[in-house]
Amino acid sequence: MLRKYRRKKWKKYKNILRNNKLALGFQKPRNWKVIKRYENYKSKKFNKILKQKKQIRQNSNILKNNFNHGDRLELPSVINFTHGWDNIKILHERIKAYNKTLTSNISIDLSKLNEISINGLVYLISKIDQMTNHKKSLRTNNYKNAFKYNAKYGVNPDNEKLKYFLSTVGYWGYFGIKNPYKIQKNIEDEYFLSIKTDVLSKSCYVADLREFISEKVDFLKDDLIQEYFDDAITEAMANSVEHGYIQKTPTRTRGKWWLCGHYNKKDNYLEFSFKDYGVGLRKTLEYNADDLVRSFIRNLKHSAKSDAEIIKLLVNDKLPKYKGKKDKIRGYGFKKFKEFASKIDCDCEMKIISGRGQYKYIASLSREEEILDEMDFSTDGVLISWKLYLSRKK
Amino acid sequence: MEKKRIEYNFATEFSPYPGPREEVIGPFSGERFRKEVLENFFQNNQPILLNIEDTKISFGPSFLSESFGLFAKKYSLEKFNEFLQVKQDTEKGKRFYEKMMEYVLREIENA
Repeated sequence: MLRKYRRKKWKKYKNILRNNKLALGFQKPRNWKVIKRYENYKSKKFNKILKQKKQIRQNSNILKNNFNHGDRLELPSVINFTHGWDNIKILHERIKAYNKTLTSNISIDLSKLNEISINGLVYLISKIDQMTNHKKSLRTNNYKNAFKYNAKYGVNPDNEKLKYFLSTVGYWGYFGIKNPYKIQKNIEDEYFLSIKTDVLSKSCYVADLREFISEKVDFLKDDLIQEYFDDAITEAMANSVEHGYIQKTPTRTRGKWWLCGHYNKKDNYLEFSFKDYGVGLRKTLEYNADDLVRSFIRNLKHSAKSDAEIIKLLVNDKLPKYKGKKDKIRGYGFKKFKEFASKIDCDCEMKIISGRGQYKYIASLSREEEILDEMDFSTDGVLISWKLYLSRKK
Repeated sequence: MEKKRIEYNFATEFSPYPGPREEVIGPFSGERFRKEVLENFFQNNQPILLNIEDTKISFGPSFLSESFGLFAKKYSLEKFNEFLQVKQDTEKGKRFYEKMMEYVLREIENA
């Protein structure tokens, strides 16, 4: 009742104000200041929402013109970091544009998708997670947390390989979708470790991945190799949780990471990928380091060191060891990634992507090479993948 | 009088999965092991023989540096060696000891 009375009074005041700038003749109630403050606040909020909606409508029109439909995110035909940057850039830009139009529930169109790799999958899932968090942060009334499968925009029904991959890797399960389609046949040569995710570093996930590998191949039978493997994955997890998230952002769950694995029996290769969507390596180093490393980073900036070059310094243990906030020595993790790739007895390709940089390390019998690459767009967090060609012995 | 050294089975008495550096990062961390196990035994003048044979995954550098490294840095290498011995009757035990000492020495050198 009080609210209605106050609103009535405010409307009366506004009406008088229209004809009479000094609002003469208007009798102010006792708590007028409170009413005025509240009504001004409400009108400001209302105008802000109106402006946002207008902006979203405009963005939606832009997106409609670019992709023909602004209501859903259309995935490109390939999402694979091995096939160069173009497909990732397309996905990156579509997600960026789609985020601006996010008015209703998230809708993802998989109908054009033909191929997705393990590293592409963890990248995509991290992006969807960000979109979901963004949606939650908008707090719109019609937001639903659960995803549903819409066959119209689902996986191409003829692409049995992709259907099998997404089901076995736990993509649908991750979003709470149960058995969205029937799988006609089992692809016997492909094995997948279902997506693992957490906000803490738990060693049992390392044991899970090791068990998955040991069931298929025996390359981890050597205790020393096992140790290199454990160290690499443990440090990747710990680095993400400890250093990857330096500030609270509404679209990122602090400490979150994803891990996924794949074994192809026919071609006898094994791959696993690790991803977080934190602030990336350059910012992490600047934030966590002590004065010694800060001055080192500043010098790097001056000498225009790229993100890829910074990754190279980290994996080769060329950054000075630094003391963290509690005076503890940090910075052991990254060299363990390369150590694993170089010590195992088969050919290995390791890739680390952060910011605009990509660092690739190839270790084989004939060569050992480090390849640096720069992208014209920036990815968030860190993506680490290893691909092991088990038949090619060093 | 110093007590008789007792055997401490890491996997059964702490965890088969040694964790990360600190407890806020993940469970069974080096920080927790140092505070709850090493400090406790040390305060009670109880030397230990560490048996890591049944652990399911290897000890990461962060765990080693945080638990054994910081402990040795606090009480000196000499006292650390007197207090803690590692059961080295297997290859796994021997390798663990070498790896642990690597991070202990690094922490002491960087003191």
